[in-house]
Amino acid sequence: MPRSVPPSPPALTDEERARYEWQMWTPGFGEAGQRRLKDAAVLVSRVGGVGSVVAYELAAAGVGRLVLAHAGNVQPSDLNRQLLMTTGALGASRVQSAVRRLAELNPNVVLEAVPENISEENAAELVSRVDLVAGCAPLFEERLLMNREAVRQGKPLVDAAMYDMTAQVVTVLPGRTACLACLYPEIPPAWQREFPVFGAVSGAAACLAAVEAIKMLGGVGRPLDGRMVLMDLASMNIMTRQVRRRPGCPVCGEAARHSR
Amino acid sequence: MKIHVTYLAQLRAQRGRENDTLELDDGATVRGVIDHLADLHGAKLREMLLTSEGRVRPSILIFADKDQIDPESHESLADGQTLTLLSPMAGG
Repeated sequence: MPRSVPPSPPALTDEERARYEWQMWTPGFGEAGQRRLKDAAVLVSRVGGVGSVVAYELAAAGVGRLVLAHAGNVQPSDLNRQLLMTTGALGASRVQSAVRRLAELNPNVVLEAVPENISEENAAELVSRVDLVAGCAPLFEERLLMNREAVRQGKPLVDAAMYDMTAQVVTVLPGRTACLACLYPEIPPAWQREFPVFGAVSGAAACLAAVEAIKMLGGVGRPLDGRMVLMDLASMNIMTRQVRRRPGCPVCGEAARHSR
Repeated sequence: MKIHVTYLAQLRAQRGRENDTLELDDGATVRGVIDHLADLHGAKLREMLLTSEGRVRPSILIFADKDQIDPESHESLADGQTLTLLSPMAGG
């Protein structure tokens, strides 16, 4: 029986070699890693304070396809942190503003705009379109849906979040590390949709999340493996902490695995 | 014994400070620290830390030095140990 050979990642054009030259100097990455990024797709939801910067960094790095999910129109209060939104786009679609900015930065990236937030209706389908999920939404309901679908479909999830001067990044490797439902088995009752935020704080979490995605997709470095990066930016105390899988987790535990 | 507590995210905002140093009896447990804080610092902090049934909220992550620990553990803490209390965040 003939063995199936995985297709090799697409070749780079001369323009792409020039664009990505400096990052291809990274030991262990090179042109092979760049081709892997070109062959990859990432879901970013939403493209707000964290997601804008994640998407911008992934587009700059040459991830081949980005699926951007975000409902609503640009508001004045978005502009301190949602770096893909512009003053000129006030009142217009957030996700279209994001697409325009990303296309200006890197026209090689295929951009899929979804003018919706993650919901029970769209989560499975959106996750199925990509290789990796970047969870950047301001509500636990959306983050936990992305987590559930990423775990079900065996795809890595990088979750970046912040509040005030605290930020965190955790990577979920399905079946290997704690998932978000291990960490948050309930919708936290004290969490509120609006929160204190500097764009520099959400951007700090976003850059680390983008690094995680680039490493996993490009095959360089090693991802957070059961660890959380925790940044107390008020004191500039940056730490990594072990996080534990929760026995009996309804998303990634044994019972969930057998019920699929 | 002394236990240092660092608050992060909404817990820090509710407590109104970055950290505390607690003087506790030898053999104190994580659960004892949480109860101590819940008793001392008002109803809102108590609601963030404990459910109405009196259990530590499962979404409060507690780290003893570098490792996440079970808030209901009966293991004694060591003198001088630092606990980091992280309330859940979804800011995006």
